[in-house]
Amino acid sequence: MASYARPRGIAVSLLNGINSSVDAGTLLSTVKSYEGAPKYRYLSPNKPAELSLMLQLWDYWSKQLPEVKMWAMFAGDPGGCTEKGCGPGTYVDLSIRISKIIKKNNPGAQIDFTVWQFFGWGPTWETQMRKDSARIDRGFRYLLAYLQDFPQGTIYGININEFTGAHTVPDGGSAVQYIDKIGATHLIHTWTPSVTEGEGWINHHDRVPGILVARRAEARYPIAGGISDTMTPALNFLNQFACADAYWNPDITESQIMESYVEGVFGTTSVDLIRIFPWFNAAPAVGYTFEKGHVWNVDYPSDSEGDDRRSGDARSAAHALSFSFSDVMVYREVRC
Amino acid sequence: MLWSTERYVAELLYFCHLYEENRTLGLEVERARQILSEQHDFANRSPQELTFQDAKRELASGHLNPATQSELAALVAKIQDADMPAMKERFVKKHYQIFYDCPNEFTALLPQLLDGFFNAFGADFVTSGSNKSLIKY
Repeated sequence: MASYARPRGIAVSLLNGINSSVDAGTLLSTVKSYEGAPKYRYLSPNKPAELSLMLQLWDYWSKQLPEVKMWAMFAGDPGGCTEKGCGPGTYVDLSIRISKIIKKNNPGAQIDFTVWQFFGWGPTWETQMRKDSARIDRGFRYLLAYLQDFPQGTIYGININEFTGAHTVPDGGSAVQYIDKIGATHLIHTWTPSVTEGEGWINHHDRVPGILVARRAEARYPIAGGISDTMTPALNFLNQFACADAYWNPDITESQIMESYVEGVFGTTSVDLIRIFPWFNAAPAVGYTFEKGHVWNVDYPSDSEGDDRRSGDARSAAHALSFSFSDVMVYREVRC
Repeated sequence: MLWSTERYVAELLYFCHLYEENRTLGLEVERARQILSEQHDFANRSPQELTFQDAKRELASGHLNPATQSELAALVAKIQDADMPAMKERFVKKHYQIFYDCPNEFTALLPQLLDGFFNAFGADFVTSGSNKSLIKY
């Protein structure tokens, strides 16, 4: 991928849990919080042989992939270490060591340290996961203390909310005090999950309004753009487009984004075409990798509200996609 | 890596079709459950618990008035014709077949993902109250 992207002027970021592994190390399913999870493993920083293997792997891959422009440290998900002696500070320390290995092999590489709730690091993770907010605060304070040990030019992926795993808009925890401090001297980008379709789910969704809400909240702090993960990139063009536009201009409106998008894809700014996209939200929104789906009841009546052509009883909602289908067919004829 | 416009439009069309099909089934199930929940025999059960088998039993009981009997019978026929197992199978073949061709730790978890998606559109109505998929691949 990096070889494909680089000649086209696209910088690829390699994101990996710093100690996630497949064949070596300890099964994560032996950790209470991961019981029943697929069979990932972690390499323990407490075991010299595993620590050595972890560093060797980063040395190997950073030599093998010189086309990768950005190397992103990731806490886990899955990964981390809940053993005694491990904590968020361990993640920071290891990331500094790994960053130096990468920079030795690729002096031009950019390091991206992603906080992501210090996911998986520390003994309390096993029973409390994100609920131990003191653990996350300790991690941020440790990061602040050792910020200068990261290679020059390192950027930091921090979300406004690093405490609950929910989207960027604060809802029970806020990292803004750390964002303000780190952002005074370093580049910060958001790492919001607000674009993702959910792991394993294959659905289109229209997340444009939610993306704009998140961008406007982030624009109040020293956050310069971001990286938005998606598990279904090929199906998620609209949301990626909206995110990219809103990174440049948080004040952009939904209608501006939609007009620009459909004109670029279909060659027209027809309202009939634009209003198709919210219908894709009929399907379940977000799931995690193959877990039992949450109960999701389609609200047929409200789906059809505010739309004169489709207003009426609940059944009109079912017919709406027929109209939408025809609309897309028309534009396919025009465009393709 | 980046899709052509043609491929993207084709994908949107596919999803329009899929959601249209799913929503149609979902509305039929919703109406069937509404009819059943208005009947005395089901007064103590939530609409979400009512199943295809309940509908067939109610039709056979002769308790319904002619208009309701006719409407419920038509809904049952439509829901049966929709063939939920076949809908799931088509979905799997398009998106997830690789997990059956090359089984891994996610394969065993796939049925609950499928249920999560299709139950949102009333598929649990035809799975006889079970949380498990009817189909085995």
